[in-house]
Amino acid sequence: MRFFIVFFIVSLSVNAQNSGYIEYAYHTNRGITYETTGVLEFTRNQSKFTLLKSGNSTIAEEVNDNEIDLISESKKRPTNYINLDSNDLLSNVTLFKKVYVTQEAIPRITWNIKNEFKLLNNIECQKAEGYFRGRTYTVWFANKLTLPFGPWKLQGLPGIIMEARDSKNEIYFRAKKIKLGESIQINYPKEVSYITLKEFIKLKPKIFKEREEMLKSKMPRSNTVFKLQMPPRTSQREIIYEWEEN
Amino acid sequence: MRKLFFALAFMLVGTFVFANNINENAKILNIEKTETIKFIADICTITVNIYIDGELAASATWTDNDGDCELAQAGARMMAEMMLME
Repeated sequence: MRFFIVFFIVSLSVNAQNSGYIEYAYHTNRGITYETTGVLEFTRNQSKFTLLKSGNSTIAEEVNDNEIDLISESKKRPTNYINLDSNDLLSNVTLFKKVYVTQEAIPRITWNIKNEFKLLNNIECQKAEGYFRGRTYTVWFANKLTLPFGPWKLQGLPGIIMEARDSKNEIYFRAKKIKLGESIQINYPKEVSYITLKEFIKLKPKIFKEREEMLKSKMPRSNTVFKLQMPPRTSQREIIYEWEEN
Repeated sequence: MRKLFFALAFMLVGTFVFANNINENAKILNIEKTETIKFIADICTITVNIYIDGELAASATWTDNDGDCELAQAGARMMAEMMLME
């Protein structure tokens, strides 16, 4: 009888770690400062990370002499789905009103695990460093939450990533609320027409060109020139891709 | 002595004659010079940076070659907002 009680408690605690959700504070400083909350929901073999709306006004602007910054948030929130069984990572990307679902194999980040520890939300976390698409990240993962998930596309450690910061101090995630053992249902996108990330990156200049031509056609016929430019890669979270590095 | 005086007087007169010739040449040059009128038109360029979810998504640049900055600003904003509308 005692064996069964112990077994029941142990299995409960193991299950408790196999699902749950974590709220992260997300801070980015690339041209403008933007702060919001990201939510990671996870089960044993799947995770979903969604960047929520910041709650600030949808369109703000800052005017300098000859430059205007228009700041907005997409209706369809940026989301990353990971499926360990199929080794897939799907992401929602909004570009000029259209939502694309990009597909890629789960990126293999080579983590260098350090012998340094700290407490985050009363959970012991271990330090690791890794390079991912042009940025070097220092992360702290909870090695008692033995699932390889994390915020955004950062993953692949023997525990859930609780804090992550890139070396340029431009991207920062920090767990602020954790609920384990919650009943989580991840509606992994099925039967959606997706585009591979590599194809999407290749297609982007064409999408910009088409959009530029479309906007030009709506311009008044006056002595004006209109140009639409793609953002420089250094301003993006992903600066360089694996296939571009070789 | 008389010869020396005559030589000096000749040199002095010669200098004046030569100087007058230079002025004449200058006058000829002035007449032949063509005048270039340079016209610089003002241009006005406005750039609108569109940030979506904290990330630079695109930059729209509107250049008005008549130098109308108000028009360029309104135009660039209009284009940017057209891109933002979902």
